[in-house]
Formats: sequence, C-alpha cells, structure tokens
Amino acid sequence: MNFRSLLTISLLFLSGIPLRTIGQEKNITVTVKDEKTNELIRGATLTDATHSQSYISDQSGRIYLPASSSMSRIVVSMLGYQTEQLVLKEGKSEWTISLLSQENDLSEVVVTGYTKQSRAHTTGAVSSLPAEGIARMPVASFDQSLQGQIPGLYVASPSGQPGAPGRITLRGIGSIQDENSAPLYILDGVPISAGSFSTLNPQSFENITVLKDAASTAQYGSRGANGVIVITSKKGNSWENGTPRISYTGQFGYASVNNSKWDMMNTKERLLFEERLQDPNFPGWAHSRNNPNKLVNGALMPKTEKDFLEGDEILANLRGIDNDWRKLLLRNGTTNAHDVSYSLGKENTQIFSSLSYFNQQGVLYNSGLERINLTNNIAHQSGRLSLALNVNLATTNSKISESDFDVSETNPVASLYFALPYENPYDKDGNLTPGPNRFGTNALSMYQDVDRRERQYKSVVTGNFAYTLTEHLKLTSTSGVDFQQINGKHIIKPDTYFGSLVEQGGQGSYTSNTNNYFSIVSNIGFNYSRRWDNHFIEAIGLGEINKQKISSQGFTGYGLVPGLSQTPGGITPGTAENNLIPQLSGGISENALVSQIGLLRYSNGNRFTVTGSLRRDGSSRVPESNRYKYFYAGGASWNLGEEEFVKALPIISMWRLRASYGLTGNASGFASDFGYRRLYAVSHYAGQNAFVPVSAGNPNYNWEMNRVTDIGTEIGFLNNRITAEVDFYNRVTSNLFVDRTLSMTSGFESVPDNMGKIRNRGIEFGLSGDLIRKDDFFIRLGINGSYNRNRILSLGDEDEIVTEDYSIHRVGQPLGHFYMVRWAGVDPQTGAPQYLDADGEITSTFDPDNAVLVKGSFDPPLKGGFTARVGYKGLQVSALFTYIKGMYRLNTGELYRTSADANYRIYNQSRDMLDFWQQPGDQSGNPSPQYERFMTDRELQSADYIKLRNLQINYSIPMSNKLSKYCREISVFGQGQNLWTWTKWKGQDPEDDNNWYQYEYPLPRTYTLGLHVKF
Amino acid sequence: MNLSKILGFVTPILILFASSSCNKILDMHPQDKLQDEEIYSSVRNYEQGVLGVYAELQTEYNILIGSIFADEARLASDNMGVNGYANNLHRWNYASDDDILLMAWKNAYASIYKINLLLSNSERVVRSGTAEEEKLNNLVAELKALRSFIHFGLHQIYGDFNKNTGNYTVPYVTTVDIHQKPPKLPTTEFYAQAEKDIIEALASGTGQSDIGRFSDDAIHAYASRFYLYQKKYKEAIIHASPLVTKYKLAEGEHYTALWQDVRNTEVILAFRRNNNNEIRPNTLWRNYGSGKTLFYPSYKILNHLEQEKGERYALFEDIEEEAPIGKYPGNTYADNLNDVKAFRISELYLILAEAYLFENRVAESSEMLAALRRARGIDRTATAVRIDDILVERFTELCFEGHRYFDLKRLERTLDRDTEDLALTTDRKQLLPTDPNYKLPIPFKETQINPDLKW
Repeated sequence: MNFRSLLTISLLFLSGIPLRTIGQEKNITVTVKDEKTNELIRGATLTDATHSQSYISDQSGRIYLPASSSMSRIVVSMLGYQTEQLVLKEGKSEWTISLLSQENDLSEVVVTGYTKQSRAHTTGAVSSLPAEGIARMPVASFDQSLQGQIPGLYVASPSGQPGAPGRITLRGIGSIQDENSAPLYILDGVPISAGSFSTLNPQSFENITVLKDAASTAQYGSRGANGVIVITSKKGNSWENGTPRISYTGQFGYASVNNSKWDMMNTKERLLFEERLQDPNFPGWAHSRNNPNKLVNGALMPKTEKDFLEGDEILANLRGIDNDWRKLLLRNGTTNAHDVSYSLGKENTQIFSSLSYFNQQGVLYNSGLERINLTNNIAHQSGRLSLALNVNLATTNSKISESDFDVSETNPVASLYFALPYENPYDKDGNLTPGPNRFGTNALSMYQDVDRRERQYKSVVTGNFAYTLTEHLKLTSTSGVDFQQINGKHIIKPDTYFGSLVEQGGQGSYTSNTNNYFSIVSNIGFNYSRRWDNHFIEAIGLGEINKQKISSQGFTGYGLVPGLSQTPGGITPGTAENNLIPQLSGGISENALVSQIGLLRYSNGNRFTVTGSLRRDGSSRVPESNRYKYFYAGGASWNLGEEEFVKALPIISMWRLRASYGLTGNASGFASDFGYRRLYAVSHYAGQNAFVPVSAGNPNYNWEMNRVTDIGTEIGFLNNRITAEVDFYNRVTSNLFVDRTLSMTSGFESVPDNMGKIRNRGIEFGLSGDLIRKDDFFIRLGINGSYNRNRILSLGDEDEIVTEDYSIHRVGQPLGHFYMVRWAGVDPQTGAPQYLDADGEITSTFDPDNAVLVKGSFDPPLKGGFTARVGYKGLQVSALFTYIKGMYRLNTGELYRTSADANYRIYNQSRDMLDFWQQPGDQSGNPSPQYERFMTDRELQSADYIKLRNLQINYSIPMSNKLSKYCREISVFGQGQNLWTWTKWKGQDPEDDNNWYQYEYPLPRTYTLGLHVKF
Repeated sequence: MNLSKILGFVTPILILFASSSCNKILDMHPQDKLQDEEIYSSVRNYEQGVLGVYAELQTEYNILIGSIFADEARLASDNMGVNGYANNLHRWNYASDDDILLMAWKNAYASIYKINLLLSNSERVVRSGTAEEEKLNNLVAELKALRSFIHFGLHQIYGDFNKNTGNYTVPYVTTVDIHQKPPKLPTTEFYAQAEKDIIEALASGTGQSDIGRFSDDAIHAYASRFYLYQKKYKEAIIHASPLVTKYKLAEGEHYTALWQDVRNTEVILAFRRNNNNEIRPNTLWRNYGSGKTLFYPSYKILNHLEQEKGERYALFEDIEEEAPIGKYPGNTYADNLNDVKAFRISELYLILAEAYLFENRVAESSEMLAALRRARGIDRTATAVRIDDILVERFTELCFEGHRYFDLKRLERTLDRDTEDLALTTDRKQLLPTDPNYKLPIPFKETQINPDLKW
C-alpha cells in the first residue's frame, strides 16, 4: 500500500467509522433506548422474526443491519425490559426503539467497582441503596445517614460535632486495632480517604453499593478485608422531550440537645449536699448555722456571732443564683442547605452539574460547619470511544469545639456537668470572671476567647475511558486524583484569661498547620465479553498503581498583639530574652501499591453464574519479604426462579442462591507507612539536636489476611411484593496486628506483631414488603438486621492482652470484653465501698488484680433498622428506626457525678447523691465521702437503644395548569433527625464508636422544613 | 483487527505493570525520620543519640515521689478532680494502677532501652583516628554511668530497703530484647551490677565538662550517694571528699541565684530543660495550663525553716498567704522553666556528715554540718551530732529535690505529718514502715505481664 492509502485508512480508523461500512450504502441503524431514562442500551438482542438471525446492540445502543436484508419485522429484547416489536418500512434507515423496564429486581444493574452487571448475574453479597433516600438527611457527614439501612453495616456516630465522621464497620470488627477496621470507599472508581465525607454532597450521588463478601471485594485485594463502599455519581439525563432537568432543594431547620436524662443538683440541693458533707472548703457547710467552727490557716476555730451573720448573708446571696448551665452553654443550632442541579442527557453526551451550599451550626457555641460543593459529571460517547469525567470540588469552613473526646475541664460538655449551680459567671459590671475551678464561666470564656477553625479544600477528579476495539473487546482505563488540604488554626486571644495561661509568655498563642493529602490511582486494561447461544463470558484484566502522599507543616507563635490575633503578623518573634520562641512541626510520608487484577465471569443465561477473581498486590508499606501477595475469590449463583419446579410455585416470584469464598487483605491495618523499620526522630537537649528511637522495627510485618465464606439467598413472594434476603457469613481474620503487651523493662509498652486471629460469624437478613398496594395508597415496611458473633481465636503466644481502658482481649471471648473490679454495694455499718475480689468474696480494698470479665463488650452483636413508608396520593411519610443490642459502655461521667470523695466533690453531683451514707445503719447506694471512688462495673452501663433516627413527611403539591407553566414538580417536606431514643443509658446519647464516655459532643435532635422544585 | 494484533497490543501493557521498573516505585524511604544506619554512621551522630537519652529522661518523677510521699509537701485544695496530679499518692490511698507510678517506671526503662541500644551497637560506629576512638570510649562511659544512675532512681522508688521483707528490687537491664520479662532481683546483685557500671565508666572517664551531662565529677557525686544508701561509708567518703575541695558552697544571695539558673556555683550536674519539655521541675508544683497550684510546702517544713532563718528560709518566705515552692521560681526569661539540679555539693557535705558519723569520725561530721550552716547564714551552736540532726538538716536543705521519702525509707523511719498538713481531717497522719502502703508497688500493668516481678 502506498502512503496515501495508509493515511486514509488510518484517518478513517481514527475517526471511528467501522472499516466494514466503507463502500457500503445506507445501512439500517436501529438505536435502542430506555424509555424512562433515555439511556442507550448495550447488549440488547434484535431478532429477525422471519430469518431468525440475531444481532446485539453495541456500546452506543446501535444495531447495524445490512441494507440488503429483507427484514420487515424485528423483535428487540433485553434483560429487564419488556420485549418490543417493530416493523421496518422501506425508505427509512434510522430507527429508534424504546424499551420499557420491567419491575424485576434481578434486572437492576449492580456496580461493583471494576465490574457492572445485573443482579441476576451477581455472585457476591452486595447491598444497594439508592442515594435518594438518604441524600436529604440534615447531617453534614453523610456516612452517618447510612445507619440502619444496610444489613451488616454498622455506623457508630461518636460525636455530634457538625462534620464529624461516623465509624463504619461491616460484619463486625475484624481488627484488634479497631480504629483500623474501616471499609474502603470508592467514588466513581477512585478510592477516597475515609473521614472526609463532610466535604461531599450526597445529593449528587446516584447510588451507594456496599460489597460485603470476598467474591465482591477480592477485586480490591489488599484493601478489601473490611468491605468496600462504592459510590456512583449521578449521570445526566433529560426529560422525555429532551429538555434538561433542573431542580432545587432547600432546607431550613434547627437542632437542640436531648437532655431528658439530666438529673444534676440545683443550688438548694447542692448547698444541702455540702452541708451534709461537712467540708469546710465549701460554702454550704462553711457558712452554715450548724457549723460551729471556721477554718483559719488550716486550723479550726470557733465562730463568733458576726461570723454567723456573715455566713447567713453569703448563703442568701448564693441561693439567689441558680444557673441551669444547659441554658448558658448550649444553644439551638440552625441548619440551612440549598442544592441546585442541572441534568442533560443527549444522544452522545450526558452532563450533570450541581452546586450546593450547606451550613449547620453546632449545639455548642462557636462550632459549626459551612460547605460549598460543586459537582460536574460529563459523559460522552462517540463511536468507539466513551469517556466520563467527574469533577467534585468542595470547600468547607468549620469551627470546632475544644477538647472533644477529652475528659478534661476545658471540654464544654464536661463543664456542663462539672459547673456548680451557684457559680455566677458575671461580675456586677457584666464581665465574665473566669478562674480556676470555675468550670461554667471558663467554658463561656472559652467560647469567646478561643478559636479553633479548619478550612478544607477537597477535590476528587475521576476519568473513565473505554475504547471498543472489536465487538467483544474493549480497552478500559480509569484514573483519578483525590486531593485534600486542611488548614487548621487554633487562636487563643491575648489579654484574656486563657491567653494568660499560655505557658510561653502568657499572651495568647497562634497555631497554624496545614495538612496535604494527595492520592492518585490509575489503571489500564481490557474487557473481553462474548455471548453465544445461552452462554456469556466476560474477562477483565487490569494493571493498577495507587500512590499516596501526605505532608504537613505548622507552627505555633506566642506573644500575640491584642487586636491582631487573627493573623500570624500579630506574633512576637522569639528572642533569647522573651521566652516567646515559636514551635515548628512538620512531616512527610508516602506509600504506593502496584497491582495486577484478573476477573472472570461466566453466565449460562439467567440460571447460573460463576465468577473468579485474582489480584496480586505489592505494597511499599510491607518489608520486602512479604511485599507481594495474591488475593483471590470464587463465587457462584443459581437462579432457582428459572427452574421448572420453582416456576410451578406461583407464590415464589424470585429465588436466588449464591455462595462465595475468598481471601482479602486489610491494608489499613498498618499504623504508619514505615512502621516496620527502626526509626529515629529528632529532639533537642541543651541547645543541640538529639536522636530518639521511635519505633522498634519489625522485619516480619505483614498484611492482615481475611478469609470470608458467604452463603446467601434472595427470595421474592407474590410477584415481588415481599422480598427477603438472608446471608450467612464466616469471616476469619488472621495475621492480626496485636499490640503485644511487653514488660516495660524492654523499653516499650507494646509492639505490634502479626499474630492474632479473630472470627466474625453471623447472619444478616433483610425483609421488606408492601402491606398495602393500591392505586393511591401504599404501606411499605422493611426490617433489616444482623447478628454477629465476634470471637478471638488466637493471640499468638499470649492467652490474653489487657488494654488500657478496663477491657481485655482474651482468647475465646469477643474483642474488647470489659474487665473490671466488681462493685458490691456499701457496707451499712461503716459506709465503706465494697468490691468483690477475684473469687467472689466481699472486700473493702480496691485492688486492680481483682478484675474479672464483666457484662460484655462494646461492639453490639445485634444491630439493624426498620423502615416504614406510607403514601397516600401526594403525601408520603417515611420513618427509619435503628436499634442495637448487646453494647456496653463505661460511663465515666456517671463516676464523676456520683462521687462525694475528696477528688470529685468540687464537681456538681447528681441528685442521687443527696442520700450518701452518713451514719452506721444507713442503707445507701453511695459510700461515705471519706473513701476513694474507683471505677468499677457500677459505671458500666448498657448502651442499647432503639432510635427514631429519621422521620420524613413529604407532600407533592398537585400540579394545576397554572403551576405547570412554571415548573414540573413541587414538593414540601419536613424532617426530624434523631427524634426519640429509648435507652437505659444515663447520658445525652448512647451512641459512640468506642467503649468510654468522654463527654463527647452530643448528637442533637434536628428539625427541618424543606422545599423541592423540579423544572 | 484480528485477535493476535489485539493481544500484541494488550500484553505489553500488563507486563509493564508486572515489571521491575514499576516495582521500584515500591522501594520507598521515610523522609521525616532517620533510619537506624544513620545513627552509627559517625561519632558525631552517635553523640546525638546519647543526647537523645538526656532529652527524654524525666527524673522529675523521682523528685515528685520523693517529696510528696513524705511530709514536706501539702496538697493544694485545687489539686482535685479529673486533672488531679499525684493526689492519691500523696494521701497514701493509691492503688497499684496509679498513673504516676506507671509513668515513672515507663520513662526510666524507656531511657534504659535507648542506652542499651546504643551500647550494643557501639562497635558499628564509623570512626577514624585516635581522637574519635577516645571520644567513642568517653561516650560509652557516659552511657554506662547514666544506666547505673537511672536504675538507681528506680531502686529508690520501688526497691525494698527493709531487711525483714525479703530484700528484692527492680531488674537491672543490660540487653536489648523486647520480649524479656526479667524477674525481681536480689538487692545485693542489683548493687553489684550498678557498681560494675560505675567502675567501668570511671575507668575510661567521660571527658565531659558540660554541666548538663555526666562529667567524671558527676559520677563521683552519684557514687557517693550510691554507697551511702548501701551503708558503705568508706567508699562514700572516698568519692565525696575530693569534690568538696573542688566545688564551693553557694554563699549568701548566690544561693537564690542558683535556683534561678543564674549561677552554677554549687552545681555538679543539672539536667537541662527547655520549652519543649512537657515535664519540668516547675510543673510538678503548679499546673500552668490551668493556673492551679498543685502542692504547697507543708506547715511542718515552713516551721522548721522559719526557726532557722537564713538563706533557705529566704527561698520560701513570701508575701502571699500561702508560700509557693520557692526552689523553682523560673529563670530570667520564663517563670516556669528551670533545669533539674541533680547533684549539688551541699548534698555531698551531708553525705560526708552522715558517713563520718557512722565511721565514728564525729568531729569531721559536725565540721561538715557547720560549714553548710555557715554558708546558709544559719546561726546555731554546734552540739554533738546525732543521726536525727543530719536527717533534719537534709530535710531543710534538700527539700523538694526528691530525697525526703527515700531518706526516711532507707533509715526505716515512720512518715509523720502534722495535722494542719492533712488534705482531709480524716486522712492518716502516720505511715509506719510495716504498713502495706509504705512501700510503693511495681505498677499493675507491669506485674500483669510479668508476674515474676511481684514480691
């Protein structure tokens, strides 16, 4: 061939015109579309009724029929759609046929990250949740709204701070370092960092799919052990007449704390308590008429009449102050959210854009979150190439309250309980008077003088490409970037009480730090699929690289100039004389993962499907000897609904069985990127640099490995009016990182070693059905739950490991079982607290050696939710209840408010303390104040609950002729979040992600009203 | 496009990903921490490793326990609640899982680990020339002296001085083995090992003159304290005597200047502290972050000081109603930063006084006491010296430096508090050597893992 022909052919090839159509005239093109969504359907079968030849539609929904064919009647069919017929007339070469989708769950398309197939062909345990149901919930971090919706998925919300992420575990906790048991999150094919959901706008999500077993997660290899949550963004589509869809959703509301279990003393009760204590350091006794002595320089001296009169006056003044600190320290926080979206779907191009604004004030002053989010998803198909580019940009501005998760006097939630009711925060001029032990006043002063802010920039950009080489083979590639920058500032104003407490200089401080997180993923490979007769086979091969880079830098400066505290320019530079030397910090780290992936699926019609996956991962976080590992899984599913004997039972409309087994790894189990090496950090001594060892190093560092077996079934009754799903699973995690406790004489308290084995075994179920299904009235109920039994099978050489917080990991018991000294009441003769020793005998000495296993663990075995939806004409009410059972938590707050001992009596107490033991013969639950109070199982409370988590009332305003000129749909809705909680837990909210109560920011009740308009 | 062309296109892509060039991406190195090998790459780096031991050594726990467990401190009324500091320890109703006991144990053995790690790798250090060789030997000597000193600090807190109850103490760790679980050690063997380190250190000498590090003089000072506790008075005298001629006592207002870190007159060894140290001698008595005072001097010691007047009393005398602890007033630049004075010549005077007394050299003993009193501006007629006099002198001179409880413990005395010094009127006034709480237990967390340590 000469050059010119070569060039022509190349150009034609590149322009996408199939070679075989050159020189032919006027093919007949049939385009197959989905009637409702206007999407092009690939893989539809066109059968020529007369000649019984069949053709398959390609990526762009097109079937090319030779012009010379004498077809007149064609039948077009597709799984999940009603079959259509068409009569081809002469003279027309372009035809479009729209298929109506069937009400059949098995046709639902399941996206599992690397693959996409219908539910009928899915062999893994996969739960899908359309994002619409949760998109509008007024929580800043949308992972908190997933609770109770998916069997096996447990979201623990540790804090009500707007933007605080939940802790998600799937199928129990599979790691002893339970903070490293988070699933992998994928957004449009790209992994995103956990804990940054406060920057994402759930209204731009289409669907959330949760992958639970090995057959579905092994494709993620070393990161799939804890399950995978795949989020798919919305794609553009227009109305039927081609006009773009524009919609607006707005919400306004407020939030307040649930204080129903509040029982703290008021002023009268507190003064009476102090009088009974007979402690001369407190006004209730010092100034009491019943107290004949006063304390002078440590010695008791008798009072004079003048002293008595003074005392009366002081007490009268105190009685006039009765602060309810809930009113002073808490507020109703407002919520305000707006979302505008534009969706356009043309033949070759689909665009979805949305802009949203979210602002939520926290229930503690000076806390809240504000977020702006821009999403832009573009998809384009042209000939052989199809690509999709999704861009997600967000910026959030949050104000964070001090000392969250900290039992300390600077935590405003703790101050709520500690502050005395007669503490008057203001002096006669109306100024705040903070000082030591003035907990309430200090919290108020902190609200105005201490600022902790974070500004976050986040962008997730993903690109998906596919190039069709032949009818069966196409090249695919996905690349994406997740970039996040967090700028934090902590400013303590000078010339204030807290400013004066700053150790360097006593003139406030300015701390600024920046954390950058950058993650990039890129894969390229092929997708081969072939259909013949009843058989279908799909093979995918990919090579992938994942790289993450984290860097941080920061400084703290002192000696702020009053009035200039908002900028580093107000910092006084440090010199040798002024002790205002700033502190600097920084760090940098990176890791990489290189993988090869192979996936295979074979289906026989709709009856059988068999899948297999194999993945090889190499990670920089593991020493060379263990660096490369193979992860694999196999699964099979059998659609019994296709069998004759089931078709004969009319009551069963769908029945599927599936099973899978595989090996996945937990890459998030690594504490750091280089933890296996022995490393030194820099410190200082006498003005010189010094090196200190920070990690002992472990050359046998290895991944945590997970072997999961899953057997499940999905059944539908009465034409799928009632559907049920049950899964049995057995998940064994081995090579667990156990913080092996060492004798401290070795220099370390513990060293992480891969030697543990945990089993999570359980059953998940979901049942939903239409109780009533009439034309304009329906009631739909659903219940889901999972029961998980967690057992430690091995801890290497040890039998048990005691952890810091009164719990133990013991072989044969669940993880984190509480291990404490048992409380045995109060001795009525002496008022001494009594404990049970290890043998069960009563003793008055507190000895930590007497700790035994008590009550239970902190991970609830039973959890789930139930939903109810009722609709009548345009009105819809839906309620979501969530429940857990079997969780215990240590209520440290309870200890501090039922302690009259010298340590804690400065804090306000619960009303129950009015009858502590005073004299021999008293029967009381509270010991005499002269004895120390230690933490025992008395403070271990059950944190089980049933919550009405969300209630939505939605009314679609009927469209009159006038209204329909302006818009297509209007609806108004009201929502309540976290409305009622039934629980025995004595506190503001029983939910948490760990086993201690640490005066966490309470989860509030939120009420909102909203408007949704579609144009 | 036929199949072979497709495969020819696709296969190289996949092979690319499996190739070694891609795998080189996985060979990453930490960029914000140093690796093991770099520490031993030069003598200078090795020395910075030695400084690393000093940087994180917190002898403040010895000061705290030695002071508050006896009768020289009084609990401030603010020192309560969730941020209470050592208050259970002070009131004698602590449990074996007490925080302070745990932290003291942990910090000491973490420092010992650093020393053992450096010592076991000393041969790897790259050096050239005799000067560097000698420097390395000096550093090794310094590490051995430190090791002995830190172990001794542990022995002071947790060891048993009472002959009747068995005479065991803490393990002496010289190896790097993270899985070790050493049992309790007989006191005589402990002393033998600690002594070995002292002798080896002195044999090569540390060549150090910086007051912030162990010089040869500091080792001698430590040795004299070491032998005094064992009642080996001759050895104590041998180590202490030369230092008394070399270092002068601080006279007059130089004493106050000493505590303000302005002068180093008496100081033989002072551990440096800077802004980055979380714990300093000042933070033991006052929590600067919350503005709360934690401990005041007891009325008992204030009465003693008031009686004698002089420079010691000048430190504590104040206009405020309740005198703060005046030994750590801060330095010129910061009111909450001071170095830890580990060894002062005054202590050696007192050691000599005690040693001479028990060696029946009474005249030299009272001479030592008299010299000390003169320097402190205290007017007292010399009487026949008895051990109780020396104890009182140690009480007023070495207060709040971590000696009182250990002195009373080694001489098997009762801990006696005045009524006004009690935190609560219902608290105990006395702790006898036979009381179970008199001796501090090994931290609960340790004995759980290592039950052989309990005795």
